[in-house]
Parts: sequence; structure tokens; C-alpha cells
Amino acid sequence: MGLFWKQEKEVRRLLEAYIAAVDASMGEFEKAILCFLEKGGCEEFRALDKTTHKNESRADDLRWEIEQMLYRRALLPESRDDLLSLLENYDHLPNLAENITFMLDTQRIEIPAAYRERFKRLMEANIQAYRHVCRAVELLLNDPGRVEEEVQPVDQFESASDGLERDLIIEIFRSDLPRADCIQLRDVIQRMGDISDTAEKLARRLDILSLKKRI
Amino acid sequence: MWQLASGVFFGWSLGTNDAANVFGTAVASRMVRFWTAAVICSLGLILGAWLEGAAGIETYAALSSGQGSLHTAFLVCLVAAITVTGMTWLRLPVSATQAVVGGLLGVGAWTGNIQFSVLGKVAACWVGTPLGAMLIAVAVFFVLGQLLNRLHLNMFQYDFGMRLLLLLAGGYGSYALGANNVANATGPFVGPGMLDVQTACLLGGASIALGVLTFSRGVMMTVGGGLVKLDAFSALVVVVAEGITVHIYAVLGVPVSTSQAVVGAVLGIGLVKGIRTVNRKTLRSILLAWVSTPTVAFLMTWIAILILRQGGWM
Repeated sequence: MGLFWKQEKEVRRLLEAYIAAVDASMGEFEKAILCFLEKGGCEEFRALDKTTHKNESRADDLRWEIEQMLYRRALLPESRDDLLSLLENYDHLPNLAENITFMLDTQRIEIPAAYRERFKRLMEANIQAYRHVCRAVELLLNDPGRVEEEVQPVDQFESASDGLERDLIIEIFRSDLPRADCIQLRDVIQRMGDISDTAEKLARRLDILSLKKRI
Repeated sequence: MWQLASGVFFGWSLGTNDAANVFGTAVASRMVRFWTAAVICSLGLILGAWLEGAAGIETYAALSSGQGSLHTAFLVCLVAAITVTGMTWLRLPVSATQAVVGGLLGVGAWTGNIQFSVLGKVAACWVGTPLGAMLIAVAVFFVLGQLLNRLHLNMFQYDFGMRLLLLLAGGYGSYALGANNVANATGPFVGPGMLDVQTACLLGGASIALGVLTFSRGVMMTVGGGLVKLDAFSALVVVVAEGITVHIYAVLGVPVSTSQAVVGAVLGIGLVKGIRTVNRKTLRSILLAWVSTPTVAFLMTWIAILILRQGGWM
């Protein structure tokens, strides 16, 4: 029995470290976007892009360690499958964040001043959706009866993000900007919206997982 | 003394097969390690056989009263072992208990001394095993489910608790298996006076445990994997319901089939969840086993005695 408990404690420790690494990556991403909107692709932005990537890599390593432990029989098969699928989906969040900062940096994208405020709101809606999902995951591990509290707001932020995403894309393509710039901006906006889409899928999954443990 | 070999052999084959009914699901789905399951199962079996195996052995002694000799006891165990092995090989449903009873009836047909009242009690319990296990599973599901819901466990606490409960329930199921099924292995040797009840319990329990330790891994993986895929809680309910059912029959002194108790308990889970957990083919198999196993064992014993008598060996 001691072995079960030891393995489960280790999985839990790794999971907490993984969630923290993803959170650090998302935090750096938020700072990077704010910096980009204010100062463009400056050195500070590049440094924040690097730390976003560094934390995402750290999360990847931890995910790999957790998967190895789970395949080595930690947890019950049903919890193992649930956790593996959860990790796979959760991992899309820092990947998207890293991808956006990488796009902004390498493609030398410029966000016209007219759209910056709404772009900021779009980013905030997506970050909020992520934060609720992050708390829902923490609750699933600690107090599954309260997961629903954090799951419900995700849908609101996802809807808000969808609205902003649509309006921005329509307006950008109606503007006088060159078509190539419009396409670049559309890609960044859609990628940003993918964060809340992923968060919403995760929220629904988390809701089911919390209900599954009720008999 | 050599006649006892068939009883030990039969006990061993019981152990290789029936441990899967207790720990099969948990081991096959990697909820519990094989060696942890095998050791707990063996200890539970020996303890159950030793403390509560006497009643079943006395039933067999009553069923074979006045007809027993060491040769017939040897024959009954050997025929039962061959029936179980042969029918398993032919992939036909089989119950060790029903094979032994069929063999004892085969001997009784020659001596003209079949105890119909004891036989009626045994047959009624065979029908009652899956039905009883089904009802007990429903009750256990609700009681245990309510208790677990009130605890508000997180994923890790739930997993740890479930594994602990699976081991405890497996230990109890093994205890019940030992108490109930030990009579199959060494019960036929008590009537002729070769073994006293306590020795028969210990020897039978040890031979079943030997089967678990030496050869049950493959059967556990096959049976556990072949059963309907159950979540940990449902698997726990099945083991607890099977243990309680088999234990009740052990107290009543009637050896019953653990496989049929498992199927009954799985049916109970299906009833609660509103899903079909056991298909019609499996149900047909149980009905077929009730008829085919004792019939085959009865005929084989009857023919064996006929040959032995014709040859002047008996």
C-alpha cells in the first residue's frame, strides 16, 4: 500500500509542478502581449517570448515524466486515462501561447493602433478563460465537488472572445491594410481565440470528470 | 494415501481457475499487482478453508454417506478434475462444484444410495447463487456508493481508497472462496474416513492456494480481460457481492460456483446502471453449465466404475 501512496504522491507533485509551469508560461505570454501592444517587437518582448518558451518546454518535460509514471501503473486505469487525456488537451494552452509570441516576433507583425485596445481585450478574455480552467484543474485534484464553480465562467469568456475575434477580423479585412497584413493579423487573432476554445473544451471535460467520481 | 493426489490436483486446478473470479478484474486492469493479489488470495483461502470450510465438507460427506471408499473418493476427484480440464479445453462452461456433485451422484447411482434431500438443497443453491449475487450487488452498490459520495474524495484519495478496498474485498472474497470451495478438493475423502474434517480443510485450502501461487496469472489475465470492462467501483461491488454470496453458502454448507456468483453480480451492476453488462450467450452458458457439468461428471464416473467393476478392480 505504501508503494501506491508513494506513486500517487509523486504524480500529484509532478502535476502541481506541471500546472505551475504552464501558469508561468501563460503569465509570461500575457506580459509579452501587453509589451508588444505598447512597444512592438522590442528586446523586452523578445525576452518575454523566450521565457514563455522556456516555461512551455519545462511543462513539456514534466508532462512526459507524468505520462511515464502513469504508464508505469500509477493510479487506477480509469483515472490514468482521464489524466492522460486531460494533460494532452491542457498542453495545447502553453503551445498556443508560445506559438502566438513566436508568430509576432518572427513574422514582424504590427498591430495597427486602431485595433490594439480590442486586441488587448481579446487577449484578456482568453487569459481569463485559461485562468478559470487552471483553477478547475486544481479543484479537480483537491476538491472535485467545486469544479463546476470554475467551469461555468469559461463559457462566458469564450463567447466574449468569439465576438471580439469576429468583429476584429471583419474590420481588418474591410480596412485598407494590404491583404498579406490582413491574413497575418487574422492568423494571430484566430490563434488567440483558440486559447478560449481549448479552455472551453477542457472545462466541459473537467465537469464530466468531476461528475464521474460521483456514484 | 496416493488416492489423495487426485484431491490435491483438483484443489490445485481450482486455485488456478477460481482466483480469477476474485482478483481477475483488478489484476488484468492493473489496479492490483499479480503477486500482491496472489499472496492475499492464498492467505485468505487457507484461512477461510480452515475456519469455515467444515460445513461444505460435511455436506459432501452426507451426500456420499454409505457409499464411500478411498477408491471412489479418488475417482470422484479425478473425474471432476478431468471434467473441469476437458470442458475448459473445449471452451464449454464448467463449474468445479457441479463436477464434484455429478461425480458423487455417479457413485451413488451404483450403490443405489443417492441422498435426494441433500441433492435438492445443493441444486436449489446453484440457482440461488447468481440470483443472490445479483441482489446483493444492487444493495452493495447503493450502500457503498452513498458512503463514498459523502466522503467527497479527490482523485488521489479516491484512487488510494479504491485500491485499498479492492485488496480488502479481494481478501474477503478469497476467504469466502476457501470456506466454500475447499470441500470440492478434499471433501470426498472425509466420508470414507481418510481425512478428518480439520485436516481436509487445511490440506484442501493449501492445495487451492498452491494453484493460485503457481499458475493463476494467465487465467487472471484472460478471465479479467474477457469480462465486461468495469470501473474500479463496479469491480469492487462485484468482488464484495461475490464474497458475501459465496460466504453465505459456505455457512449453509453448500459449495457453489464462484464464476456464476461473479456473473450474477455483474448482472446486478447492469441493473443499477441500466446497461447490458452480460450478454445472452453468457446467460445461456450458465444454464448449460447447470445441466452439462454434473451430467458429464455423472456419466464419466458411472462409466469408470462400470469398467473398473468389469475388470474386477473394484
